[in-house]
Amino acid sequence: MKRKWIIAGALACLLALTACQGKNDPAPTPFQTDLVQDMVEAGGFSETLEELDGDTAFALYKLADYGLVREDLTECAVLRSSGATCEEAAVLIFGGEKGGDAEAMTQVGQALKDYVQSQIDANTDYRPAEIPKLEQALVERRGDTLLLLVANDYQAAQSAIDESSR
Amino acid sequence: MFHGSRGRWTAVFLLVSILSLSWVTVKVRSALLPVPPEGPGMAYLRGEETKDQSEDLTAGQGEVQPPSGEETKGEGAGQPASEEEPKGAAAAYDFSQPAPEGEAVDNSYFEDAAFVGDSRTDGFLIYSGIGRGKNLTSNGLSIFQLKEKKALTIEGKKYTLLEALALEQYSKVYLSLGVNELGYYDDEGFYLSYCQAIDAIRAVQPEAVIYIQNLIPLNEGMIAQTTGRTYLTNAHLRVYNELIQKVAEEKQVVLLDLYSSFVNEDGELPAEGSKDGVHLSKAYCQQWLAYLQTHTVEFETLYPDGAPRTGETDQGIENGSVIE
Repeated sequence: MKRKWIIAGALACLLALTACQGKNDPAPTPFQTDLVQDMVEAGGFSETLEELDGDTAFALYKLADYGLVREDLTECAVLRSSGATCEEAAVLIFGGEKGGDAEAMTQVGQALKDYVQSQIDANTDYRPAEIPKLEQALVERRGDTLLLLVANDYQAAQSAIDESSR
Repeated sequence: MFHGSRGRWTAVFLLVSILSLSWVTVKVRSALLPVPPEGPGMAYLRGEETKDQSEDLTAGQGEVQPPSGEETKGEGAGQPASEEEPKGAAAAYDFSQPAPEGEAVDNSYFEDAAFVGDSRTDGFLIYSGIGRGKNLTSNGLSIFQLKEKKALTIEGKKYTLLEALALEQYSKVYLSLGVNELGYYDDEGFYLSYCQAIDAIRAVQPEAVIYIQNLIPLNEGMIAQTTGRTYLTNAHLRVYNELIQKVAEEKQVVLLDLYSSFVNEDGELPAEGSKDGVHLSKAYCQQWLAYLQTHTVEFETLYPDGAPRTGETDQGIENGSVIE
């Protein structure tokens, strides 16, 4: 009987500890548009990238095909190679109803993954040296913000991401 | 009538006088005719070149008829037609020359335009700020592959660019291909394939103005530093541009002379215009857009009697250039 009480007590402690752990685990810091420039300064890219505006980014990533409207993309910072390489960095921030909609944000993540795949398909024969960069592409969601990264030096770019997350 | 030595001299004198008077009359008439305005939607005359063009446009159709209510087109705005000028003489568009510069259109002009091309055109559509137009491009595409390469996927189905072009109707089709072909060393094949491409485009877009853009120069130094593709030379590119001009004249499509707009004094694309010597920077894509905005021509100006049918204008080249 005593043994049963000990086991039950241990389980209760374990559950309590687990619950505390969840409460104290901070939500990841949403991506900020400054991060794109931080990654540039950290040396993540091999060339000077060109800036794209929100309208162009919305069309480039085909977000309308994934159920979004232009107004959902409230802020962004996008830098992209004009053709010499496939390097690219984008922070997309969404607002309104879609911004708080986990399903919509999952769709945006899928849009970015599909975009990367289309880049791989389009460049396999044309820019084969760029394919390893595309295969390592990073697509990450934090709340209503998303990061897309195709870098020349992922370690350098990651250091900027880590720094911005502190 | 003119017998003897004196009579013969009199006849010669009269003949020379008549010829001189005729020549003077022609010259005076040409001098009095005002220079026609050039610009979007305006027909323009280029002296004696117009005669041949008129004949080409109206083969088998009798006298050229200008568009309704435009009898004075080419005479200058508000100017009455000269009494000696035969009525109905059309101001034929000179397809052998680049489109003239005119007043800039805004980007809504490109709403119903399709852009067929390679990675350069893809870059143009992304970086120029045009924000409109159907992107029918494929990296590394050449004119030789236009009919075969299933380069686009639309709703899970693969299409060639020409098949994709046929899915919708456009008022303008901009074609820009040629850089990837520089490695083939097949100039005649390039010309014939280009002619075939025009026929194929016209077959599916009979009401569209077809613009063909000659090749923007390369920066060979930057190419050597980056991709090292030695076949990409401006010397060969200029040969292709001459062929593209020939295609424009042969197929009666609008030639856009981007080369002259971008070339520097060394015959190259300026180094600041590209990171790899081929693909244009954002600023140069915007310059490209500015060129397109100021070089537009109306369909009615090009073809007052309706567009030539596919293969109708292929005199001078082999029949093999006409596709089914």
